[in-house]
Amino acid sequence: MGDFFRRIRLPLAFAALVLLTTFFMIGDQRAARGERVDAPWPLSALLEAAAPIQRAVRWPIERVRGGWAEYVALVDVGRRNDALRGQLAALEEENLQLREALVESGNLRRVAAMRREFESELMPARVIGQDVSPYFRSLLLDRGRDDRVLSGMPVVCDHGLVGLVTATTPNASRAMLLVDRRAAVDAVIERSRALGIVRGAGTDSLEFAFLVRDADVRVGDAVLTSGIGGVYPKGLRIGKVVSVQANKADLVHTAQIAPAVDFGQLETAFVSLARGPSMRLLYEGDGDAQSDTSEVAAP
Amino acid sequence: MREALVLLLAGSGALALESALLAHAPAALVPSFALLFPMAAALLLGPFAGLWVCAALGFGADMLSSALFGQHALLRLVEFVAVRAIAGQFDLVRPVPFALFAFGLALADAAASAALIQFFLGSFETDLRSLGGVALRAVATAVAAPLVLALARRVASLGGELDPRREMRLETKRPVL
Repeated sequence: MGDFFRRIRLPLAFAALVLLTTFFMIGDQRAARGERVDAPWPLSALLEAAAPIQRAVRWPIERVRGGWAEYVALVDVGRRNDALRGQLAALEEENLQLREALVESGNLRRVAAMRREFESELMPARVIGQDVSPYFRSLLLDRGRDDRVLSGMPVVCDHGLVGLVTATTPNASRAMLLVDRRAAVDAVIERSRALGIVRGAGTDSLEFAFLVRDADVRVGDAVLTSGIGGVYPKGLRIGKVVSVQANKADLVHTAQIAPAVDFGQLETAFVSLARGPSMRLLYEGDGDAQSDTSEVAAP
Repeated sequence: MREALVLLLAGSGALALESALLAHAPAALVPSFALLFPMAAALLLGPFAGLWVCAALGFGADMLSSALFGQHALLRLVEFVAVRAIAGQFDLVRPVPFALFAFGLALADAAASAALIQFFLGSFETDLRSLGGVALRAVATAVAAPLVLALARRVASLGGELDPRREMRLETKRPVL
């Protein structure tokens, strides 16, 4: 009996692990449809443990890159630059939201109400790692729950929308980029107000799908978040239309968008410390704010 | 057992290092430690310990990626079987065969990832630039493979005596699992 068990324990363990991974993948697929799936704590622990290593790797690279500039008595410039970029990102966001509101109604009181609704604190976070898979796009940030960063919070930078926080630990978090193949954002063309959905494709460009009857989409048009869907604030810059694919027979046309953010060069991002209404519905009400080790998929 | 734990720790560190390097260097130039360390574990450790180390490193890679959770772990399990099957026929502990095998496995891993995405997410689209990046990264992985294997052997030997795998080449009828 013991000998038999010894002989089958390896195939048994293999089969059990294959079943487990398949179970996790099906669970994650469910998450992509809006259901929430928690990551097991040992794996969240790995994300947490990885952060110091990644900071340690970042340190010499940063020193080499910025060493000379700092050597010439510019020690505080990097830090001040980070702070100013944070302010710039906040002002850009506010400015876009104001422009959005003015375009819509011209009613300044409504503008003020909207500012109150969307104004949120921005937490600067350094990019300490990238996705290890060639087909998916995410960032690891050096801020986590201890800095009030939670899953479902939008991530922005001074050029526009970056993505969404999808997993957090006390000192680190993972953010799914806008260009990830699982990311989707409700968007609007700034000029014509044509609505659609921007989807990532896992490459460096985005796809904007829009209904033909609303369509007035031209090359060069700016694409902003529409606020519909309740995940991202309204008026964040997504990118610019670079080409439009129109097939008269189709009800839905698509346009290619060049993202406003250069994700490959991103060193600092800002986490908006307020979840959108949909993310609040998904996460709050189960004590999640204190013990958030969850995974969230695209809206 | 101790050598498996030491290799698991080293592999986890290498995963974090890979993720950090990807943030600062072109992806095509960063070797896939997420693939190489499980390969080394499958080769250097006993089958049972190797299987668990491969699965654990796969789940670790899942945590550092927005891929479907479990995707890397599943691929690492399949790759564990592939490494042990090929090691039964070829002397993979030598640098050149290991590098060549790593190159092939890196490409196969990318293809299998694409197939899993297609199956679970319904569609897989990519562009020539991404495919070129995958091929270049497979080259970088192959170049780094002998070094990673030597490092893994050194690290694992800190945890205890490693079984010599030389006889595996001779036992061509030996079951993989």
